[in-house]
Amino acid sequence: MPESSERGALTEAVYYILLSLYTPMHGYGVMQKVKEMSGGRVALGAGTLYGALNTLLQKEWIRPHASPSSRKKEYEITPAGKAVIHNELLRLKELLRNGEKTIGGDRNE
Amino acid sequence: MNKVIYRMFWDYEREEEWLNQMAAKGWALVHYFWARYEFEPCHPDAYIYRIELLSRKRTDLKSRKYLQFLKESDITPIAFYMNWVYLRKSAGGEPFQLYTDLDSRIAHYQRVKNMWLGIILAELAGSGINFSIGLSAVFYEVHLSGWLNIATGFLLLIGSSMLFLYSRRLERKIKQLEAERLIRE
Repeated sequence: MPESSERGALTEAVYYILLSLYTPMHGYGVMQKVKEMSGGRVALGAGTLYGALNTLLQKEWIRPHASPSSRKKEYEITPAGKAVIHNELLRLKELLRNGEKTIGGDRNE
Repeated sequence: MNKVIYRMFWDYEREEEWLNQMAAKGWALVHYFWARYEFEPCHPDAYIYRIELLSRKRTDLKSRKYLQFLKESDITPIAFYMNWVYLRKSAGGEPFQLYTDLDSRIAHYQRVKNMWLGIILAELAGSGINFSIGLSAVFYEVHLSGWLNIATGFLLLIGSSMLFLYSRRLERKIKQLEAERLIRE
């Protein structure tokens, strides 16, 4: 196992927030982007999103992005945040691999 | 022509439900102060309302930043009452929730419960003080003021028991969500 002390699973909200911030955007943009990526399944509440953004800023997985075009506060993912996403993808692949191995090709089971 | 309704709620979720029923009927809340609700006519279903208990006073920097964030998401504060804020969003056919995952829902319920527990304690203390003043006054034959104190103590006691029942209901909701959190986010 790699060294990182952050081995736990990300919440769905955090995972999608980090993904959407590969392109810098403001909070409302994140909500729309997450909704779009998840096909409308994940609708982030503004309070939940605000709490998550602050935690991610503290952890320095995201940072404020200075934008000349918008007066709204924008955020973007940091290299540390990208590393977290990278690890999470490995973990998700493992979950998927084991799931598929166990139920075989028969997904209707 | 604005409409004014006087009502009292303990339960902010019921209050929210009522405000949304009013909005569905074409009455949008524009002011709230001390059980006085003022509505103006709107298109039916134009708005959705949510009530939130802020963790700090609204003038606190932390609250101001949060409210600014909400404004940027087209969520407008309509009224403030103590640390409560009445928020509304144009409906546009989309659901509007402030808290959408178990952790943040639990945290908000917890904040509301703690606020009420503080008020319950204050009421109990007030009730105790009134009883002891009242009883000693009656003992020393200062009858009228003594009985007034006893009546006040009694009312405070009833108020705090009702709030206590409500806070138990909140506690059950928190427990349910926490059980849910053991198996999913």
